[in-house]
Parts: sequence; structure tokens; C-alpha cells
Amino acid sequence: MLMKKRSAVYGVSLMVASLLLLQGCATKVAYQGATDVETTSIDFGSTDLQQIAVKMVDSVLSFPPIVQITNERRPVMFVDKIKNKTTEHIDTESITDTIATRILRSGKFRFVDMTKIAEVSQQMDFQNKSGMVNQNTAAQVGRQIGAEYMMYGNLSSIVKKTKSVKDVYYKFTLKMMHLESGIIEWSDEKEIRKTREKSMFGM
Amino acid sequence: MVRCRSTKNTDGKRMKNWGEGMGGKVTTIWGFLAVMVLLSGCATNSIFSSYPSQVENIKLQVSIGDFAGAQAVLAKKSMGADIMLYLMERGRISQMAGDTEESIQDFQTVLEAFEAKEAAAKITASGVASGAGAVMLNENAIPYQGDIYERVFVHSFQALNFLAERNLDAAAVEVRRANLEQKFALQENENELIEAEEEDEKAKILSANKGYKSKFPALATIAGTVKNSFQNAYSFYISGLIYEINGDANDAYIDYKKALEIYPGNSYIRGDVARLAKRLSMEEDFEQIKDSVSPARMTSPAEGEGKLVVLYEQGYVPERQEVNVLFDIMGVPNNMVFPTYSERAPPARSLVIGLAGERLGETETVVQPSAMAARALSDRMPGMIVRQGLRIIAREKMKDNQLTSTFGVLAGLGQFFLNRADLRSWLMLPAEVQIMHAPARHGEQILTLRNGSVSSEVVINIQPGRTTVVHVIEAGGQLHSRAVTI
Repeated sequence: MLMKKRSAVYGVSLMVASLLLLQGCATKVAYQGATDVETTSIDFGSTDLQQIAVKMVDSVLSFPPIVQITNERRPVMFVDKIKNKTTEHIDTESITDTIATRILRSGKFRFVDMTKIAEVSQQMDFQNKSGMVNQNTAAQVGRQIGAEYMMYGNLSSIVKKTKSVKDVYYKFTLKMMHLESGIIEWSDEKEIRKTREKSMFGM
Repeated sequence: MVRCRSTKNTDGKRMKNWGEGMGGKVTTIWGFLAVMVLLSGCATNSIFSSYPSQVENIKLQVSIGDFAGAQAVLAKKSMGADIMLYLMERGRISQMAGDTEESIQDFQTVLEAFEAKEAAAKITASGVASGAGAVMLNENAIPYQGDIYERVFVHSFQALNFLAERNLDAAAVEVRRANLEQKFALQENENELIEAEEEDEKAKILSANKGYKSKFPALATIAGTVKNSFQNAYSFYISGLIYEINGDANDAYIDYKKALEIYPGNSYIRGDVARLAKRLSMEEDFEQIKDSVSPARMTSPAEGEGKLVVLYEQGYVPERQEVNVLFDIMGVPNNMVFPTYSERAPPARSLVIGLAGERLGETETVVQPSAMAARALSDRMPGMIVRQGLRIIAREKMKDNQLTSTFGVLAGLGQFFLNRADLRSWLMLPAEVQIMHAPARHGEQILTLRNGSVSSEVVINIQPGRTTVVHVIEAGGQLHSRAVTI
């Protein structure tokens, strides 16, 4: 009698144990909207990047003096590297790419790309010096347009944590300088704060 | 895997002898399954053969320059529960071999594991399972957790990897993380001192063995040489160096100052602090420090000169050893096994640096990982005593349990495995780290590194106004170095 009862107990407990062990076996892949809020981890993520880009672009394009400057012409701008002062490896080029693309799409500014100088000069050399290119069609050296404005900034963070809570504060600062005069024409910042609280139970 | 199965089979036979009739059989199967679950991490092997003995062969391979062989051995082992530990070892070996990419990969994985552990729920199913395993069997059944001092070193070594790749931004991120972790650890340390109150049984075990430190005299001596296990002047020095290369003199000053605070004996760092205090017009700070600095340490590179920095990581941290110690558990003396450090690392020798045939100077100590490791172990001692004590109490209680035979089997197995202390720790870590810096004439030159009878030559290219960092690792009597000018 006791024997049977015991086996039953073992059976049930084994079943529960197997269920627990097998729970993580089904991997699921699904498409999500690119702009959906993402909170997989507390680290810098796509939602942060998008929030920053949207805020910066809206701010620069609606700033009255900038509206005035861009009313009749499309000034040329270049984007400097954004300095990463946080404690995470963040691709800041990706942030500036998004911002530059949005500004460019607005039709208010034009950009020169400083990251491609080496490739451009190599191509120019080929067109003008190799003797293989019809000089009537070769791009002339010395006719590029100098940038009038420079965009630059930094991303910094403050991280605090205790055993169960982690709190991250990001501050993204972007500035736009008139190169010739050195005047900062526009500047804005975006703050983001996230917290992570540990759950009590998990696998 | 084969190894796991064979071990279980032998134990299975033993269990059969203990079981009686039908009930015995069911019990045996149940016990067998339980052991399987508990030992599921057995691919790590640390339950069966002690960790230092596993690393012994790897060290041998490293000493003859067979890095690929060592990496391959570790690759096989790094599939189990102790993945962090093996990847730390492999990341370090890749660094010695000059495979910066691989080293970055491994350290990255380790740091993600540290991060994941931190974000994990307070009570996890896997944690409970391995914890139960540890109660029944031994501490080696708990997947390797890593210690803060190890994490700080992973960040620092990762920073040096990025520096070697001239990725200053990424290097800066790593040192900032290293510094942040130390800050958190310090904070946590203070909190822990306040909430030392424990529950019933634990408190009883601890209060009965208050003088536990005197039972590990050598450990107490070595651990006593540092204030805590995680504050690392090396990481702050690298951080200051990277800030200075980036032109952030103020940030550099703050980190050099912290480095000096943690390790006041280093005259090079003292020189850096004084030099920057003067440059940044920190008059009060400069007044305080100027008398204790030799002018030679303060000189900045002159016109046409560059700065040479040598980072020298020497030897291996000592291995943990097993000791038997008698402890009072619920009024009964019990013989228990513990890991300890019984020897100091052999005294470190300075690296003598020569440039273009001239003696430039020698390195000075900035951090002693061997002391930090001992301190970390010593800090964990009360926890280990409690866990071992609870294990003994649990097994006593089980004797009266209705499932006597089942747990008898487990306890028997436990007895078998119990006499093994947890000897795991990052063993490729250097025993001591030293630094040296000096202004140097520009141009391509031969740098000679000499440590006693071991010497090595590196061709470096000093450029005016730039910094040349030479990262030297001494392991198994060999000097491995890489240089980068930024």
C-alpha cells in the first residue's frame, strides 16, 4: 500500500520536473514593428535611438533661426562623430546617421560625408591621373563645396545600481555650429531614464 | 559526456547494493535520476578532478608557446556550466598569443554572463537546482559565479585589447565599466557590513565559529595586505592613460588620483598626479604632493619626444589549496574541507627597460591580484562555513526522514564528493602588475625588456607628441609583448 503511494508521488514529481526542464525548449521567432517600444534589456536600444533622433530632428527643424536660414537655400553641413561617454559600447555613428538622414529628407540641409574622404580622393586620382578616364567626363578636383555648418555632440550616462534595482540615465547633447564664425546656432538635449527591477522568480 | 555516464554507472552499482527489494529499486531509480539532474553540469569536470590540476596542463602548453593547443583544450571545456571560468582563461591566453580578436570575443561573452547573472531573478529554477546540488554534494556543483575582482580585470584586459586595435572609444568604455563596478562593489560592501544579521541556523553556525580566521593563518595574512578584494589601481591607471591620450586631462587627473589613493607606493603614478595637478592649476593638490615626487617622474615629453608606457603583467596567481579544518556544527566538532591560499606568490621582479641601448628605468608595482584573490576567498569564508554546516545538518535530518534510503544514497554520494573543496578561480590572472613610463626620443628603436635571465626585444616607433603603450605579459618564463603607438 505504502509502496504504491510512494511510486505515485515519484511519478507526479518526475512529470513536473520534466515539464520544468522542457519548458525552455520551444524557440520562437517573430517579426516586430521597427518602432515598437523595445524593453528586452536596460541597455541602450532601438527605442532610445529613435527617441533621440526624433527629438533632435524636430527640434532643429522647428527652431526659428534655423527655419529662417533654410527658408531660401539649403546650407551644407557635416556631421562630426558623436562622443560616447557612457559605460556601454554604443554605435554613435548609427545615431548620427539616423539624424542626418531625417534632416536630409526634410529638404532643408545638404550634407558632405567626411568618412568617405579617402575613397573620394582615390577615385578623383583615378579619374584625373590614371589616364584611363575621358577628361571631359572626369570630376574636377577642387570643386567640392565646403560645409557651412558642423553638427557635433556627445552621449553621456549615469548608472546607479543596488542588488535589485539598476537605474540608467542617458543624456544626448547635439550642437550645430556655424563654422566660419564659430557661433553655436542651435543646441538641444534629450534625456532618457530607465530602471530595471529584478523579479523574484525565474528559470 | 562519456565520462559522465561511466561515473554514474559505477555509482548505480553501489546504489543497488544499498537498496532492498521493490522499494529499493524505485528508490534507486529516483536517486539515480536526481544525481543525473544534479550532475548535469558535470561536463565542467571540476566535480571529478580539481580545477588547478586541469589548468596545470594548459600552463605547460603556454610555457612552450603552444597557444593553439591550450585554446583547443579550453574550447572543449567551455561548453559546460563553468563557461565563464574557461572563457576567462582562454581570453587571457589569446591575449598572450596576440589573437586580439578572439580575446575580445571571449571576454565579451564573459562580461555578458556577468551582466546576465546580475539581471537574473532573485530565485531561479536553475539556481535552486544547483544550490540543492551543492547542499547534497559539494560547492563545485554550483556553476562558477566569478568574482568582482575578476570582472574588473576582464574589463581592464578588454580595454587593453581595444587599445591594441587603436579603438580608443571602446577602450574608454571598458575602463569606465571597470571603475563603475568597483564603485558599486564598494557601496555593496558598506551595505553588507550593516546587515550582517542572519537567520537562526546560519547565525548559530557562525557564532559558534567566530574565530574562523585563525584557522586559516596564511590566508588571513595574504588577504590582510589589501583593503578589499576589488579596488584595482591598475584599472584606474589605464583609465587615466586613455583619458590623457584622448586629451581629457581633467578626467585623467581624477583617475590617476584614485589609482594613487588605492596604491600609494607607485612613484610613476605619483608623478602623473603631480604633473597634471600642476598643469591643471590645482594649486592646493600640487602643494600637498610636490615634496613626495621625484622631478624625473614628472617630466613631460619635450619637443620631438613621445611618451613610452610599459604595462607589465607578471606570473600567475597562486592556486587554491585544500585544507581540512575542524568546525563546531550544532555543538559537534566536524571535519570540513576548505579552499585556501597557503603561499604568497613568489616576490615579483621588476622589468628593466632599455631603449636604443640605454637604460630607461624599471617597472613598479601597481596591483597584486594574488592578494585580491586571497581577500575575495577570505570574504567568502563565512558563507562557505555556513553552507558546509547546513549540509551536515541537512544530512543528519535526512537520516530520520521517511525517504531514508533515497537520501541515504544521495548522502553517501555526497560523502564521496564532499571531500573536495571548491578550488576554482581564474588562474591565468597575473600574480602582480607593474607599470613604468618615461619620455623617449622619436623614431624607430629597439626596446629591451629584461627580467632576471629572461629578456626580449621589441621594435617600437616613438612619434613626437604621441604615446606608445607596450603591454608585456610574463607567463611560464616567457615574455609576450605587443606595442601600439597612438
